[in-house]
Amino acid sequence: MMRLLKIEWNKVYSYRAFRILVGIYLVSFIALPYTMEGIPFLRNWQQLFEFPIIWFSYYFGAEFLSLALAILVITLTTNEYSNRTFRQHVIDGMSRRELFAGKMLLMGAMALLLSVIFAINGYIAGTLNAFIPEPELTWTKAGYIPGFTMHTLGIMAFSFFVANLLRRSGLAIFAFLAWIFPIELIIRGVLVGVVKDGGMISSRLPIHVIYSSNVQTKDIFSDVAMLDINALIPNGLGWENLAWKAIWIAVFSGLSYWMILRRDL
Amino acid sequence: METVLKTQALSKSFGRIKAVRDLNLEVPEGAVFGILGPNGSGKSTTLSMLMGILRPDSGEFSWFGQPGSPEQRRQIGTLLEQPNFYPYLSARQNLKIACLIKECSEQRIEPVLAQVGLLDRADSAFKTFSTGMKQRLAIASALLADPRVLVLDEPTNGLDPQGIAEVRELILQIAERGKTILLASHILDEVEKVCTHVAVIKKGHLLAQGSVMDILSNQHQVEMQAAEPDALERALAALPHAGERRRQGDMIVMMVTGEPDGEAINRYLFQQGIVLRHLRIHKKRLEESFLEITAKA
Repeated sequence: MMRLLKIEWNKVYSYRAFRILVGIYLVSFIALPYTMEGIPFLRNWQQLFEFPIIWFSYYFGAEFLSLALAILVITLTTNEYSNRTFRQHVIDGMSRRELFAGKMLLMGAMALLLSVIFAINGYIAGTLNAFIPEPELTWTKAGYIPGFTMHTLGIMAFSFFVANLLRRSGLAIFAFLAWIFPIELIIRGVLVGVVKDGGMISSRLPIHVIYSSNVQTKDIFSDVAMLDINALIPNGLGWENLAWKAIWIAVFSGLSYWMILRRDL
Repeated sequence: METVLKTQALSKSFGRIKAVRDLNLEVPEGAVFGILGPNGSGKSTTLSMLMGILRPDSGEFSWFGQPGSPEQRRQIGTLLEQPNFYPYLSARQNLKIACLIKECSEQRIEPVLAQVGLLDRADSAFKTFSTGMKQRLAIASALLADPRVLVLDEPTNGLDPQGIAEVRELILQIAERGKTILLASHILDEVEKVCTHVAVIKKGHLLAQGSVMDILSNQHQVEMQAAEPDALERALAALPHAGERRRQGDMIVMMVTGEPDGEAINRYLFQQGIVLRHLRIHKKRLEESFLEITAKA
């Protein structure tokens, strides 16, 4: 396992695009809970940046930033095809299972590391933003920390799948964005309008599941929210959403594994 | 002598195109085994199957008597078609990754870079290398794990004459150390200069296989010219053990199995009243054998 991680690390640490993308992502990711307050329409919702709701707010903002992670995974994976290095690794004596495992380990390690940063940074930001310290509330909504881990793994597994499927970076990034923005939304619209129980099915589609914060944004910014936002926001993503995230992670990872295992390189 | 590689009825198609058909090869240990065939004959497809990157449709192969596996591939140094490295990494960094994959010591990096003459460019990015340097780095990578077998696919492709000579010299040096080399090429001269054994394939079919001597049938060509070619031809017909003859203009080319005795031929013809103005004996070239074999297919 360490050998595979070492191989992956040796590939990326001197790669300028990796350093730039990760650098920009990390700066934005760490600055996020301190800067969201600066967004004018959020200014009145001071509670959003205090414990325990900060875990939700941080998760909510981080979901948008994870697009950078998706592009990173697509770039790293499609590079292996365009440089023909996946092919070379097999020639040199790596099994196809190891090709898959190496990338999965890298993604897993990144998701884990980012979750630790998420927890530490969220804690620091919440402490700094606390109007009156209420330690008993600090971790009540910390369910968003494992939620963030699953979201990150989900978005990376999906982008890894798209990258393995299409093998070309431009095409894969375009297909990924196209699926996120119009395609899945259109499918959801059609399902809701045409199929019986379409609403239930449409809420199980991958991007909807991966990007689910389990809260309707309009509720948070309603007048009611001013009164009791704490009650409106659940303590985490909920078991059902986490289970669906896990299912999609398994599906996309399984399909990627199958493609690496079965196709000519 | 141990058989390093054996293939049995190996076949591969791409859509309707049959790239390799029922290929049976047997490579003895210590051989420099050339796979010779025109472009598109299935050489690279065969090597790609042997190295695990293409899946055979049918048939099987074994390295060292065992079915192909990643562990075995670590003992085989391979250069297939073109060098594949990370363009942004240096030669040293690229070889470090290859070392981690092959699970060999990183201390091998410097000696192999020195062997291919790239030590002074060890820390330059791969993308700054010339075609010849890229090819040499690929050979260095193939040599990293001090492999028992080297698989080289068109190793002199894209090289200038000096680069070609250097790579051939390198192959011969490696062969001298008892390594088995599997070399695919469409360049007859290359195969003839470095190989001990050869398999000729065309359109995925194996046409001939054996030692280079066998393929050449140990034949020599004797070229002769005289003032009266018809008389010369008649005299040659009566010569004991005379081989097949053909006319090339006013020159007669005669095939002789074994080592021909030029002096005896000259004396015999002189006794028949024929004075030669040209007599040249040379070994039959692989090119002629190759053209004969592929023309029959």
